[in-house]
Amino acid sequence: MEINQRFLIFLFFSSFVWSSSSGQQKDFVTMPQLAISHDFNASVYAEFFQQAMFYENSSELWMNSSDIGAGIKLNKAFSTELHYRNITFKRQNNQFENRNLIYHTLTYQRKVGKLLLSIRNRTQQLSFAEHFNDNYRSPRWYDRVRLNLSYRYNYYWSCGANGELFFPLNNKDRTGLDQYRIGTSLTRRFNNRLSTAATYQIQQQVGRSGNNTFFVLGLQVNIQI
Amino acid sequence: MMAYRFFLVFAIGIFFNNAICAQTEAQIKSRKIRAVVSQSTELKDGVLSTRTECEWYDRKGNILERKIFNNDSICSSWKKFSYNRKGLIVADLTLNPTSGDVKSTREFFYNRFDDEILSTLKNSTGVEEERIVTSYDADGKKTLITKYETGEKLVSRTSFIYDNKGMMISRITRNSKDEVISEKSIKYTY
Repeated sequence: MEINQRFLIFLFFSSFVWSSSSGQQKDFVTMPQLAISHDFNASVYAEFFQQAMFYENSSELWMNSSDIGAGIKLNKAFSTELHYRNITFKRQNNQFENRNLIYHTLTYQRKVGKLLLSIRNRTQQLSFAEHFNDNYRSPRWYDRVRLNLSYRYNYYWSCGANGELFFPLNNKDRTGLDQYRIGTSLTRRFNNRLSTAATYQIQQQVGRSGNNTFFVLGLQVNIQI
Repeated sequence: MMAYRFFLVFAIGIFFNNAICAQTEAQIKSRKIRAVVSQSTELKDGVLSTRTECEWYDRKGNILERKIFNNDSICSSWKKFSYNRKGLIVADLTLNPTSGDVKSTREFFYNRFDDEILSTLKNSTGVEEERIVTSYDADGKKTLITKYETGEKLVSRTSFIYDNKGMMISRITRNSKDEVISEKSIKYTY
């Protein structure tokens, strides 16, 4: 039974990888991620993420980011987080650029039986480093809204589906929605301190001169210390 | 044979459902039952005694009042309950069955995660007779229950320990002299 279950999961993700990587005008991206969190008490917690993304059919490093943040659970339903993320991003000229991202989230979640619904609003400011360079660009502000629905099958397994909308706040060329993401996730919890998650996400750019589509397969390890 | 076994299990299931869980909280809530009157008869020492229990509920299925009447239809116990807007019990009043005066009041207090952190029992004059303080860990699991008597006098402390999957593995109760008065340990095989 256990083998069958694992085989089906493998088949599920393999089919996604195959279907996405066979379309060459679109790109298949892989994203390994390590997340470490610590609860100071029932309300306050801190998080650290290390994340890399490989593009061009997962053959080249695209971006690498380190994220540190703190969160407060306001009550059973609401929580808020503040994060700083440093990103090393590969531009089209194959040069790596340093970027800084600061974002704030406000999340509402509600549990109904084995279902967990969460709605997250994320406001972010992406600034491009090297302020005195010729190619300096002013910071970009975004508002992102994400809806996530997850189902806990048992203590060990849970799966979820999510969708996210990106709204640029200070881009005069893009006034409305400029990206949406839809994804699925499968999480395996080993104990209260360790879990892994496999995610598959379609990132679709819209309202731009070149609307790219990225098929992102993520593998995440979550550790609570 | 399979059909027979299924029928047997089904029949036992119905029997237990009716016999043990005459009305569960969920059933009362889902059916929007406002009042329940249950009567039970028992033969004890050759005497047939009847007990009638009346319960009233609000629209959310929370019990508001409970009255118990004995053989002679005289009220022997009377309790009233009140809740906050989240449906959590905030007070439990024990009333004098004849006069209706408040005999004692138990109040419940919660943290922002809706976990009960304090309950107090006050007598009719408002003097606190009992105080129970409950602590939780970062995962919201109960870690310590401390019970006090009048005048903050420690009665007992019950501590809980959990394994890495969040299952309770130990519960130890100590008295005011720190002597273990009750201990329970549980082992799980995963």
